[in-house]
Amino acid sequence: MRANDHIAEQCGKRSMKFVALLRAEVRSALFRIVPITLVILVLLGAFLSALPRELFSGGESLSISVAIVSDDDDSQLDIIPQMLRIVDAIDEVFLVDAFDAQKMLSNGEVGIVVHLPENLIDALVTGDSATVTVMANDYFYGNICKQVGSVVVRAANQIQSSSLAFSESARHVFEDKSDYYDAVNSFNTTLIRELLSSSFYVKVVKPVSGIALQALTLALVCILSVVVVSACISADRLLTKDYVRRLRLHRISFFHVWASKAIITVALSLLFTAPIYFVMSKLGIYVDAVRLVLAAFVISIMLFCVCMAFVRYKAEGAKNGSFTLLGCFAVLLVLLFFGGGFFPNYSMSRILQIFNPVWLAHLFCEWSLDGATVSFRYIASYAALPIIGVTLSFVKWRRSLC
Amino acid sequence: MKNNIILELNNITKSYGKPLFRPVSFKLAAGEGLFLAGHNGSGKTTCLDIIAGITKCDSGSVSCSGKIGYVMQTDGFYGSLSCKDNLLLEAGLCGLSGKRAKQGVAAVSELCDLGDFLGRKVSKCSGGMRTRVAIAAALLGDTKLLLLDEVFSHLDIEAQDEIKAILASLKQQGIALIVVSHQRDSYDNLCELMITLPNSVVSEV
Repeated sequence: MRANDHIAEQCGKRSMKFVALLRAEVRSALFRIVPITLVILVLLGAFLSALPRELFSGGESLSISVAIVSDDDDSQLDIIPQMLRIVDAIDEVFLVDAFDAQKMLSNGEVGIVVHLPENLIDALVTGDSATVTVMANDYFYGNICKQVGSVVVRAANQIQSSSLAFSESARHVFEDKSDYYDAVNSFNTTLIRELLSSSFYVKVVKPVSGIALQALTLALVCILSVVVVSACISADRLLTKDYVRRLRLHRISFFHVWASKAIITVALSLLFTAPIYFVMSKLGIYVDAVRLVLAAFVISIMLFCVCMAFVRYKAEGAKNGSFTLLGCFAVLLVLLFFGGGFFPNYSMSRILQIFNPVWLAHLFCEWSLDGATVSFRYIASYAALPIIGVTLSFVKWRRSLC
Repeated sequence: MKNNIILELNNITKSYGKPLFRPVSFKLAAGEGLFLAGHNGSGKTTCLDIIAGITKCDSGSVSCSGKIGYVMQTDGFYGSLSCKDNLLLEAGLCGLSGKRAKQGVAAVSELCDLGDFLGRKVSKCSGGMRTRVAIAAALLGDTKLLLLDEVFSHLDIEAQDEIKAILASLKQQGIALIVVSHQRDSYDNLCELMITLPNSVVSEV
């Protein structure tokens, strides 16, 4: 016999039940969301008024400057700074000598120093090996160092293979050694210049106002907070086993609960996004409203689903559910702080970036502004920490985890 | 032979690895009370869940000729909502809407004497109040059978007496009761039958 069969006649229409459940969920959420929203707005206001602009040079982007040291007195190397623009996080590139580079690194004027060896050009032409050294003044720039190093090495390899191929073929053409060397040198000079200044290495950046990105990021962080709050509210009550049994008594599945909470979450997310859009419009910053709404929708639903999955996991009586949920939020907070907060996302490996909600928010920000930019202020993510802290304590998160 | 049978169980079994109890069979008529006794883990709540249709039984059959109301150990109400809002939700879940829902809530509120604290948030209610609200919720939608799982466990004597009075009046109105508890004395006047799990022995109280 199937469960519920004998009481089928007492069950009304599912749509009617869903509406009743949704209505109760909305009322329940409103009782909690309104004060939480006020707390969030006050925190954001306080945060914005104390925006530490001096932390960021240029006012627009997080500055990671690079000094290139070359003992090789060759004007061909002047072009190398240009190719390093491919690395998004790099703000400025200087060509200096070793002493100045060390001084700049110590003073914090640059974050990374690339040391090109004395024999670089010769090594490129003759096919010998050369070691490029990349130094950083911060552990978290490690991944950027790797990127810088790989760009330089890739360029050098390309130059070297072309150069060697030409010299090999030219050897059979020029009988006179003097003519041969002249031809090879001429080719190498042209090749190096052309390759290093080619558009392949130049990333065209469409300038987008820092305010726009900042505002958008704030909006998306708000959404993130709302999603977390929503999940907390769900967890706060759904974790009681008898609530689940009571719903089952009325043939209400978890799907209905999910659906009602998802609707509330999306509605609240849009509620937060709309004022930001209007403020930005007022400031004369163009944002594609449809894209913005879609971005907010995707982020909120994605995080909501993750949270609800854990909530259900706990409600189903899994012993380690609470610890798993707690661990999930701990990871989220770590990502907020290290993956988009205090330290730049570029310092993270690609795989971590993919799973980082802040990184996704950043991508959606760029997408919503219909452009790409290297300037991203991770500053908004700071706001998420106190917001999440306050909201978690507000909804008696500890009780849910007992 | 009993008239007006509300509930009939025929050789119900349930096992989680090993059988929880011996096959359970009984009939319950309108206005009758059944006391379900047994030590911890003997399957009392599971038996109620099977009757309520929350849990599937392994074998046997359950037939019920009316709406079942279930008062669980913890109510699972929305703490941030008022008692009335929670009852309205329950009415919606029972398939009542609009005017019918409000009328239903008013009727059960009167039956359980909720008038004074109907507008109060559930989180602000005492244990006795919450139990009364839970009984009221279970009665919505023309309930014929009321399942009560340890409803007295956290109540003082005064609150227990209030609840007993409500249950006695429900019996008089023809609602059948199945009660699970460790305190048999509390239900002496409410139950005519008793089943002790896991042996599933049926006896008269």
